[in-house]
Amino acid sequence: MQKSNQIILQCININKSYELKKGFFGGKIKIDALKNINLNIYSNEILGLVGESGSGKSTLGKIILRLIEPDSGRIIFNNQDITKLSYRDMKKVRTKMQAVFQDPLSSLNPRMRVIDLLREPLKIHTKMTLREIDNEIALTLNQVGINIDDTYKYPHEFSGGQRQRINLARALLLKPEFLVADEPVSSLDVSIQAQILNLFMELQKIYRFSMLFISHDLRVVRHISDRIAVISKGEIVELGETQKIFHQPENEYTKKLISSLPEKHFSH
Amino acid sequence: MFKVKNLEVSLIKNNKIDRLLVKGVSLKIPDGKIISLVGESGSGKSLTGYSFMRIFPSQNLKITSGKIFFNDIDLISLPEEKIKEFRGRDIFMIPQEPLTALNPVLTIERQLSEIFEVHTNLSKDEIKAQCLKLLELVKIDNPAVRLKSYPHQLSGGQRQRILIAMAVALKPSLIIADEPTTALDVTIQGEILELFLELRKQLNLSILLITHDFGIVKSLSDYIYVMYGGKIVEEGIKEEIFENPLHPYTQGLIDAVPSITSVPKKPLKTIPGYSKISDFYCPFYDRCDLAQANCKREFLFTFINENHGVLCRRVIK
Repeated sequence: MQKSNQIILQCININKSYELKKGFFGGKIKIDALKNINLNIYSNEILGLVGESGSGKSTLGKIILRLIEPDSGRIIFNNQDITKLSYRDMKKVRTKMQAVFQDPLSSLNPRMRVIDLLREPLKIHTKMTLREIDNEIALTLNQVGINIDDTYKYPHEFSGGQRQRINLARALLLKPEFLVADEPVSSLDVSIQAQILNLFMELQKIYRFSMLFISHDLRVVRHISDRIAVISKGEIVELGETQKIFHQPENEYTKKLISSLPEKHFSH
Repeated sequence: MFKVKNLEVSLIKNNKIDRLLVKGVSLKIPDGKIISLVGESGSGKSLTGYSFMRIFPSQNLKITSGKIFFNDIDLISLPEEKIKEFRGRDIFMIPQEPLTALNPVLTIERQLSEIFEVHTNLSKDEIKAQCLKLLELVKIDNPAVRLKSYPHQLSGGQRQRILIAMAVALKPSLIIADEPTTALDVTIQGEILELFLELRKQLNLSILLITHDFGIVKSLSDYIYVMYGGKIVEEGIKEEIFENPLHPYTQGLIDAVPSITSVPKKPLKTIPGYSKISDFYCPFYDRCDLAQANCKREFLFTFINENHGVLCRRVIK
């Protein structure tokens, strides 16, 4: 996967803070979730975003998808500033920008059959006929390794790994140029994790989308990413090629993260 | 020394055995050793852990056969009144979700003291001194202040330390730690694992470590049991398991985890299929590339040397 020099997504000076009430009578305290985030993602690139809980990594993913609004800053997608886009204009952008989340079950409406869940994005965003839609679904399902005959079942009838395959298929149906994957393998068993990681890498080669891959798991991020951004307390503390981050980390926090891996930590 | 013999745990429906979830597990935990029980969800590893305490998360789960020896006492045949004395004193289980295991409305001191009140005759002052000592032992800063804190005022790592303090309070013979670091951040994980190693040295504890993370297993354990579908499919000392894994499932699990030495972007080796448990004798039959017709029928757990055993038809000559 050779990354190109074309920037597909740009985060410029993103800030986000939350206010927390302090006790019954106390005042409010401000918590900076993100501080001055500047980040470029190139086309055809997998950028790993790694950090601990509370570091702000998921907040950044959601801001990019415009699921939450930043306090300040801009997001440029395909040379278009999407930060202030109206709901209707944003809808057009969403066909090019999709997401896969951590919990594969809660991402799927439990009352809809899988086939209807998969038809929905194409019904909303395209003018395809039902037959064309079903053809498209069959093609995509084939690529994620789900049998089309199984799609008349409900999400709970699938295993965690299968559900994540369905989520990935749904995200890819609109042929997005950019994907946000927020901890997509964290809730899966080890043997299933590997299958899904392989699937992400395989499909990235076919569809050539760019991806922001958010995870707390350094080993997973190292395996899949071209570049890695390390985030701590709302700030990106280091950004660089995967090899460089692991072999010559510069930031103290990055060094600490890497040395805390069990393999490193206890290698006597 | 703990010894489990042919343990069976079943799901009970309408007073009948509906399904066997732990199917004849046998294992040994020598004094002062860290023993790992590795497996994925549904393998029965946590139920095996619960069996030592004879407490299960659901009333429909019961031990239906087998023995668990603590030295010469069979814990399973003890009446309920008697087993209570062992819980907390000789065996302590740190539950899977350590962060919700503390009572949110009681101070740390109250919760720590309770253990001494129930199991010892110490005076109030003595108990307080013990609590302070415990917090120092698990390396909590400002122990006197922390005793007055409520759980929500502590970080995840500190709460896990409190639970470990509770676990070692009465110097038990065995601590069962169910996924002790899964809920914690990476940088805290290392510190907690180090604490386990240190306490083992200081108190000559035995630890049964239940986990799915081969990284942790590799760094901590003396002896490893791998479970799949309610059965032990492989066991052995660390070197044997990692350098010469014999069961296709163990091999698959080790290969499936990207390590910090693996080649980036290279497709990971995978175990085909989903976590399905086969109805045949070999629980891995449906997912195994090497399965043959005779794997369906019963065969013996075989030791290839004194440090390494496996439940796989292929090693039987």
